[in-house]
Amino acid sequence: MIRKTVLPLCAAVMSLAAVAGCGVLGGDDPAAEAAKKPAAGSSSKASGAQPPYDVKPLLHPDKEYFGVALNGAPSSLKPVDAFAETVGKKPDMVGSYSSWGDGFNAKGAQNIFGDGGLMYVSWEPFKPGLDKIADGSQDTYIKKYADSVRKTNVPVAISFGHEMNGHWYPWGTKDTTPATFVKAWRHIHDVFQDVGATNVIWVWSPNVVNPVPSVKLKPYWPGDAYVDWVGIVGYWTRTGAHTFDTLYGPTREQIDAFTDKPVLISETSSEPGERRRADVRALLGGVKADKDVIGFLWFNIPKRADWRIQSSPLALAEFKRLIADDDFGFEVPRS
Amino acid sequence: MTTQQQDGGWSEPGQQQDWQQHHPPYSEQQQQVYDDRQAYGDQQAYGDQQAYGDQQAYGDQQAYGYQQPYGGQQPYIPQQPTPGQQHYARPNTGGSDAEYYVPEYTVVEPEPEPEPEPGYVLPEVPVSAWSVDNSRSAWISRGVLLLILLVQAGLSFRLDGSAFPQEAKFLTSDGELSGLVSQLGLAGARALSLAWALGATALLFGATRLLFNARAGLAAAAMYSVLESTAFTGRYASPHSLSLFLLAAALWLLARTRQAGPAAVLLAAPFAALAPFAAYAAALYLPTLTVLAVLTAYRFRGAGAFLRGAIFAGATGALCFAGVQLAGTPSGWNVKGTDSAVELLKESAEWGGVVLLVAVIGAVGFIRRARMGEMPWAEGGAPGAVRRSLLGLTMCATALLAPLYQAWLGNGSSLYIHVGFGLLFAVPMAGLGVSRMMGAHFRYPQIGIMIYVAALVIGMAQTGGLYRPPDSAAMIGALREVVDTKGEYLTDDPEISAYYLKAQTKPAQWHQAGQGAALTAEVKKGSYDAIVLRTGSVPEALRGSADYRLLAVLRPSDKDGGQEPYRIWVKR
Repeated sequence: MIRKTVLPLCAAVMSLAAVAGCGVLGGDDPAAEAAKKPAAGSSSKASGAQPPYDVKPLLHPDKEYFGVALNGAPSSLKPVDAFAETVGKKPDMVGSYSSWGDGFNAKGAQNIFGDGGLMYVSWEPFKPGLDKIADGSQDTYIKKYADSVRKTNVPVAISFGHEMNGHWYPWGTKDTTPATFVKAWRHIHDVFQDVGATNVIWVWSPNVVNPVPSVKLKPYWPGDAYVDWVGIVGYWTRTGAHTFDTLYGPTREQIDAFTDKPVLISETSSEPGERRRADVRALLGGVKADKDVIGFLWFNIPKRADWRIQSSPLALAEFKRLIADDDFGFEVPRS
Repeated sequence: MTTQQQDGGWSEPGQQQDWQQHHPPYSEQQQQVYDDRQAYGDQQAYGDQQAYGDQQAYGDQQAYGYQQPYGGQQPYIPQQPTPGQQHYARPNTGGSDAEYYVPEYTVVEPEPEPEPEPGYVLPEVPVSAWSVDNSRSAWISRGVLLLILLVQAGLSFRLDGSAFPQEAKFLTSDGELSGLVSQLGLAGARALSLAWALGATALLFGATRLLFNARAGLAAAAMYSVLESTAFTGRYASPHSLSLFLLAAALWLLARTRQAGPAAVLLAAPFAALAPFAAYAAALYLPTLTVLAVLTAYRFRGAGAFLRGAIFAGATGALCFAGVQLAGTPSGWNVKGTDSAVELLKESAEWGGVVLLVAVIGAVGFIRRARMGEMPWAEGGAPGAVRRSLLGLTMCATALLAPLYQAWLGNGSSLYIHVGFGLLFAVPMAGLGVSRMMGAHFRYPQIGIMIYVAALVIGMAQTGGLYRPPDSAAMIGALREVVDTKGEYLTDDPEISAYYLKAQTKPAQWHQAGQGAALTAEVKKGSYDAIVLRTGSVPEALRGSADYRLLAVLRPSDKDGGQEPYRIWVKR
């Protein structure tokens, strides 16, 4: 009788114990792990487990961005390093240009982020026209681009269709309307959101209104929900304005009427000449003084003019002196 | 005379020869004597032989042995001396023996010995070799059952992932049972579910073995162990598994007490009564258990069986009533929905169709013949045709209860689990069906193997498709950085967030997100600090929202899993 009842009981208990043992061993609950561990700790499992980069801390930095656009960068970091040596400070933002149809320069973005900065992309819709982008017929490309951006999981600033208020680009005032521009912008933004590329800082970047005073900026504004930074393209030329206020003031006045997003001088340089040193002083001084301006991106490429700072020793000396200020440049947060 | 003499007379021809040589003239006389002896009868002549015990048979042989040869060769055949002969031999010296033969004693009839009272009576020998309940066959059955249970455990452990919303809800609810279980955590609660599920399979084997035979029991356990619902329930941290176990225990006790008095059925009542309080779906099967209480009554037919059913129904009903008074009515059992009835029935057929088909085959076979005929000479008690028909019908029809009920409600919630409740009762018939199709003496084992493999493959594929808990790990990891003890959060999966982030938040901080206009209103209100939705694209309500920004889109690690990504919005 004992044998009849005890032995099956033993067998049952043993098998249950074995099963429960398996349960303890095999009972990994990734969500429970995620709730406990610091986010970085979970990266060991798979790269997909890494949380998406949150760009929020980058939107209103305490210090000023110090950006630069260089030939050969960011696919290679050598020009950046050379420039850093020239001016005595490492830039934390590197500009790049991407024509519509080009793939996203994921390697460049990772290079720069690995070096402590972020990539600034000017996305130039030369070809199919903004109406094509707006109507969704370019979605395959946009999705692919967005997915590539999402997968890099590093912060990227994207300025689509910059200088839209000028007439010199195909997406400018000549061939398209502000409504189409806004529609295209929002559409791209929506696709990026659907794909989940949340690591993008959206930069709405008009040219300074000075050469095109009749073009109002407000109709081009996609809305606060679609833009993170206002970028202003404004070069210091021999014949143009020579104070921070006169160069950027009229544009900012218009913009202040519809948004209070932070402002980046997203493309600037000073034309070689006698006033170059003063221009540099005015630019850096203005950026540092204005709390709404979060930095500038220096166009250091010879194109139509020699915009490189090293082409003018005096201006370079002034640049080196001013950029040494601790307010310029900072390491972009790692996560 | 001694035995030695008797035997010696046969075995030593020399002596016989001697004897024949010494007394040739009396051959005729000897024949006479032999005839006399015949008159005494076979045994009377050996009255004193009784003392020799088992020599009785020898005596018989002797009697026949003499008679036949004597027919042909009367005078010279050697002859065994008998007491009579001994007696006659003496007056050989004289003339005719008839003249002086006077019996010196009378033969007394021996009193027949009384039949001894039996000290032990052999039990009725069971009819089939497999149902001989000896230790060896029992251990073979247990061994096979253990293998079946290991396969079941393996099929359950195959399933993995974070908590389902219902699991999370169960583990965060503050009920007495769930409070205890939640101490175990998700893995522990799932392991406990598996233990109940394995117990249910074992009890199902026991019940089927008692109702039919061990072979049918093993086939039933094997079929049940590979069902989609079994693997799922065994890996689902919810009271469903416990409820199934209680039903199986009640079924087993019904089978176990089938030969006892009607009152013994009271043992099964508490288990049956508790089952609906673990999972409301079990209530559908209390009528089945009542009918089975009547049909399984073995010794008491007629009134006794109905009394048994009445006692079971009364006790279970009373306990359920008491339970409702104490714990309240289990909720959710009659929630109507908008699911397509046809679709629900179709899904149910996919999940349980094979087993039900085999069960119907088993029931038909059972109704036609109570036994397979493995031993045609076997006799013994078997249920009559009416009872067999009712048993077959009850067991098969029970499998349809949950699908029909939920199709009528239009509510497909957890149907993939509830299907298993009904199949628990149909599976004994399916086991019988497999056993019958394999035939007597396992003539067609390939049929059984085929059915098992088909059920296994179908079950595995279905479980793999159904057991897809939300891949919430990344969402939880991201939310952990967002939440605090004060915020209000709107989410598609409040249970999951509340469960996993119980260290950081209170369950009341999590609110179920609406859809469409309701969501738009909730977003517009702007009172939530974060919004978490599981959606493939950004809903209209949050497109271009001035209040919320998309923090992250978290895709499931299994890209082919068909799950929508989690999207987290936070206040700007």
